This record gives sequence, structure tokens and C-alpha cells, in this order.
Amino acid sequence: MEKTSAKHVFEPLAWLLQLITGILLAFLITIHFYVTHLESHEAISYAAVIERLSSPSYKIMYVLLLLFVSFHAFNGLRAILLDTNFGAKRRGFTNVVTMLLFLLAFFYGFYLLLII
Amino acid sequence: MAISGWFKVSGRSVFSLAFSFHRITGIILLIYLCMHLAYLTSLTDKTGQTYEGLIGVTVTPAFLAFDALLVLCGVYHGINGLRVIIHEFGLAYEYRKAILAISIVLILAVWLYASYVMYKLVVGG
Repeated sequence: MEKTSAKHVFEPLAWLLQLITGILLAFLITIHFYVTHLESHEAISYAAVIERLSSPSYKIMYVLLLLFVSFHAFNGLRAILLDTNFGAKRRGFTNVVTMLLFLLAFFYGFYLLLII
Repeated sequence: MAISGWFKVSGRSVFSLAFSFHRITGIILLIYLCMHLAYLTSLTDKTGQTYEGLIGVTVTPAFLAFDALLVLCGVYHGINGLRVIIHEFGLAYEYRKAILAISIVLILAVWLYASYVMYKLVVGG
């Protein structure tokens, strides 16, 4: 019987997470776009942004949006790079770099959410 | 398919073209995500002047064309992504042509609506 290793689990898990985050992003980005652009022009003023960020429910929504979008974007980049000759020859390197970029984008946005 | 193949149009099925557009819009949205995070760094200036300065430049009629193209990328990537997910589950594969046609109509309708509302916000009327 073939042994289950992290390498065998990573690809199907990444595919499943790409699918789940994709569905969640379709809803969260629609809400984000609606709140910031479609209700009123004042919604993107500095005062309105700070007021929204002082609400715990908005803050939680932004943390989730940030987590899902960062993963989806850099996991998508990983899939594209693995389809190229460059990425196919350097699978481990491509996986590590794209996942580090995902973490960098998430933690940078998270840091902004904490200090604003 | 090599990346240069994404940009070839002749002799390809609409599904193959939809795949290329999905990847191209995905890369554009990835670049936009990085720009968006950099833009939001301006919120760390507690006077609000840096942020409002950027808003003064980017929320203008001159930027509307970029906004509309960005929204098109987002709407296409979102709706086409949901279409792909339906088929990934093995659902409605026999209706794939009709579902692609409905998706394209939906993409155009949502894009035109969102662009119209943004136009009204920025230009007024």
C-alpha cells in the first residue's frame, strides 16, 4: 500500500482550499465592493474607513477576506508556475516561495488592520 | 500549454479561451491585490491626509476606465470560477455550452451595472 505523506496530501488539499476560498471570495468581495463603492461616495472617506474598522464584525470580515484572498491569489500563482517549464523543474522551490508570499501578504495586511 | 499559448485565439475552443482568460485575469487581480495592500498603507497616517490625497488622485473620471477594466477582471474571474467549480463536481457537464453562454451574459450584465454605478459616483448624475 502506498504510504500517505505530506507531499501526497498537499496537492489535493491546495486544490480543495482553492475551490472553497473561491466560493467564499465571490460572496465576501461582493459585500466589500457593495459597501465601499455602491452605497455612497462617502463610504471610502478616511473617517468612514476608520469608523468601519472600529467595528469588530467588520474587522473579522476583513481578516477573513484577507486570509482567503491572499491564499487564493498566491496558490493560483503556484498552479500557474507549476504549469511552466520553470516551475515544473523546481516544484519544491515554487511551493515554498508562493506560500511564503501568501503568508507575507496576509501578515502585512493583518498588521495594517491591527495598527489602523 | 505554454504561457504564450494563452494569447492565441485561432483554432481554440471557447472553453480553452475561457481558461486563458481565467489565468490572465487571475494574474491581473494578484497584481491589484499587492497594489491594494500598498495603497492601504496610507491609512497608517493618522491625519488621514495621505489616504485622502491618494483618493483625490484615484477616484477621478480619468481613473474610471481602469476601474471598469479591473471590475471586468474581478467579475469574469468570479463568475467563470463558479462555472468551473460546478463542472469540477461533475455537475451539469452536458449543459456546459449553455452554462458558458449564461455566464458570459451574466458577466457582461454585472460588469455594466457596476461600471454604471461607479460612473454615477465619480462623475455624478
